[in-house]
Amino acid sequence: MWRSSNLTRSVATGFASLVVCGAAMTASAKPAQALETRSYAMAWFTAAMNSTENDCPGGVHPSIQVQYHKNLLDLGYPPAEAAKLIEAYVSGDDDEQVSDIMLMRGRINGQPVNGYAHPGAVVDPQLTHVTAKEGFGFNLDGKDGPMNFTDPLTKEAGVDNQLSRALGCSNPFRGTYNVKPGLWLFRWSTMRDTTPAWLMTIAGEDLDTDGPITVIFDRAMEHLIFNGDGEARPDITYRADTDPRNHTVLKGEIKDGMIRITEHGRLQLMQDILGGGQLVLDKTHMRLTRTNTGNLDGFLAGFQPWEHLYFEIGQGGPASEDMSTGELPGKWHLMRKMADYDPDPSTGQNRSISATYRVEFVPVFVARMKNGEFVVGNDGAGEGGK
Amino acid sequence: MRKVSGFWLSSLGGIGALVCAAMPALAASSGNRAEFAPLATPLGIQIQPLGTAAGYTLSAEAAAGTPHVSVVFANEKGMSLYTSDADVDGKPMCVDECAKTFIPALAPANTGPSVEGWSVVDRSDGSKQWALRGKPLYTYVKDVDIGSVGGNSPKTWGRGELVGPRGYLRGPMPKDQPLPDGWHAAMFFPVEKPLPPGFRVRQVEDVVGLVLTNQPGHTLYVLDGDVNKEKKICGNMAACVQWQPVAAPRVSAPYGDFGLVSRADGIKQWTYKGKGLYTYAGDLVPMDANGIDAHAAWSPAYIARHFAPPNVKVSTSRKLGKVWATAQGQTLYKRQGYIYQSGSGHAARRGDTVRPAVGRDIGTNPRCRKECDMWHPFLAPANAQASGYWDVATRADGQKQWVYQGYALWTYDGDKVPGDINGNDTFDFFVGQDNKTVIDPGIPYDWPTSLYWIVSFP
Repeated sequence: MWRSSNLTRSVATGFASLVVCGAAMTASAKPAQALETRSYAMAWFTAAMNSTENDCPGGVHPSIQVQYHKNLLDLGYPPAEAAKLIEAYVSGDDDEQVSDIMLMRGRINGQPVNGYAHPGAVVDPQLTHVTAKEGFGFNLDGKDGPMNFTDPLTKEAGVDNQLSRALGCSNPFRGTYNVKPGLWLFRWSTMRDTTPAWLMTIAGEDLDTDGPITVIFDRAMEHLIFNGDGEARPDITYRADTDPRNHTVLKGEIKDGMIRITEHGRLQLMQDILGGGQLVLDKTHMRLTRTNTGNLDGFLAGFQPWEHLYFEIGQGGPASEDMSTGELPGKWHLMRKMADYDPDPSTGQNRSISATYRVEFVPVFVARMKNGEFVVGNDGAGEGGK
Repeated sequence: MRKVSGFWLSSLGGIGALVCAAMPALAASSGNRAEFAPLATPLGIQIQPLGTAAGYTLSAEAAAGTPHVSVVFANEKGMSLYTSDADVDGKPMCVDECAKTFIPALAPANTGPSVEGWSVVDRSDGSKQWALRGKPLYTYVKDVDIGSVGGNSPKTWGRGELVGPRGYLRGPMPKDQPLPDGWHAAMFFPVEKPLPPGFRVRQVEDVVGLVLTNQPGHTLYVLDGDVNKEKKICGNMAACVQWQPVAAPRVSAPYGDFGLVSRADGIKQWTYKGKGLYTYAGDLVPMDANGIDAHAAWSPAYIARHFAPPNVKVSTSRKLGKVWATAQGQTLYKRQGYIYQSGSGHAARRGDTVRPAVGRDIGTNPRCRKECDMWHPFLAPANAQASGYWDVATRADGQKQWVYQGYALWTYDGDKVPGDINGNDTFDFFVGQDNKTVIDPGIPYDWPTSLYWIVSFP
């Protein structure tokens, strides 16, 4: 239940050096039907995984050493030679040979090519995928089929989260409701100190009661600010970047204390290239509840271009493959097979994959550009960042 | 010719009106403003970074390098220039067979405005040769690419047989070939300038030139006016406290271009070329130059400014500080090859690494995959000449395009007002989708790669 004291968050306070006209805002007469707004910064953004025992037939993906051994055999290396190469790789006596072979394990017209840059030219290593029945997310397309999950929290059937099915058998990508997957945890933690924060403003007539709302996403001009414990600090003022690529307005509702998006349009937010360069979600769904600290916690989902995701996890190439992600072209093949939206008109190959993210927001203030100045408490409903 | 949108035309008119209104103030000003500061290089003379700063390597060192660590004067093609001890009194002695190894750097017919330290000397065959501080200049026949010195190519640090596909060295690098005795590369740094203690000359990017700094490296500014009237000049106390006079020790004496003035408040202040020297409180760290636009009466204490085309200016962007822009304020971009930087920093200002070799690899073909009709080359006139960090590339359609620090420059239709950088950080991924097609991003790569648009910082 929203508390009335939260209403004060919509009054301009903020840092004097960042905010202009705060006093003027509070002194001026409010329009008769001004909306209440509350703003938040995204504190955490990680894939929503529901890893369980026995959710991967034959177990999780093997270690990279085992996988490289298999790759060598797939490339036609005699078993004895493959074993010798792997032994040298594992011992460190000569790990460059295997690294160089793996780098160039793609084949085009019989010629070796960079396998990370040409995953389609690498023989599909047939990695396993998740076969569990329960997974977090939403029914994005209104259908229910054998590849869909049932959400363990809402019990919604037909949940689309093919990304978790594709990557969930690889250890760095496994996680639970309470344990963030290691790779996403690492990337978000690495990026957030220097990459501009993601912002969300909710606007409605009365945010303490059920009713329609507008949900506005923007990217900040500042990076996330933290407390000494490493958690995002609330009550900071951020300026919303006026770059139109970062501004999304969707309809939503508050119902039974939960914030939801009801207009399932496209969400677009620029991101550090470590995070794939851009978050693009089609048929965006979201549900958030308020925690006892005032934060918002929940899920954000949609169909996401999987080429972005491959680049996000693959851009470290052999270093990433060895130390974190595991076999990379194999994951490209998995995402390609699991992709479930936006078919290419010429090939029919789906270009997007359903994905669900676990998100957490902290309450903050957002100053948006209005008439050439940044103003906190700007009613962003419908006005955007201009 | 590309049609200019109505917005930019009206902006030009508006900006023109503003410039006209400001003209009396500018005319009254003199001395050390950028437009009056001496140039660092004449037309036809470039500045090129050496070693790993040339950007051939894909390794982490490239991500950490800067283009200003070690730079050399180069000819209009970017080839390093050399001087010889044998050339005394400005007379070129390298002729005949010698001139086949060390090739005279001939000066073009139009060398533009004269630049301190640079001259043109006559050769015995009647041709004109560049000279720096009286020393005739040459290129070296063994230099095969830009950034080479003494025949040692910077490519060896990032490409070629000695470098593995992931940028690591396969074995010990051979020692650099030495230059023949008596020959020296014409290095840009250190800048020769007599300085009293407590002063340095540094290249400050936002100032686009070499300026005086104090010992810690904070940019110094000169006041165009009487230091004892600075309170009247700056207008109000809040503005005045931003400018702090550079105080001189009691025992200081004038030195070269540096003088002293006794202020009414008792402070003995350093002057440069007769103008009081100041620091600016808004400069928080060395290399800051936030005082550039703070007040019309104060300007950076230039030693020399770098060349910039006449239709280009430094503009303040919405969130990334100073960027190159057209005269109308439209941000200029470059096409960059992505380099994996664990720990991010990519989104930070100047978090992107300048790698001229990568810029040259990409050239004037951006290999654009989306919004391609919204990106336009920043064209140069047919008779444009390279100078400083600027070069001119010939496009496939025969037109000339401006190049800065190796990267061809572009504008973006999605930028609507001056300061917009709406094309920044737009990525195109190059990932092979099948077993038939080899990708061609135009740059070396050792894992999934991409090209992206990024603003061009000065």
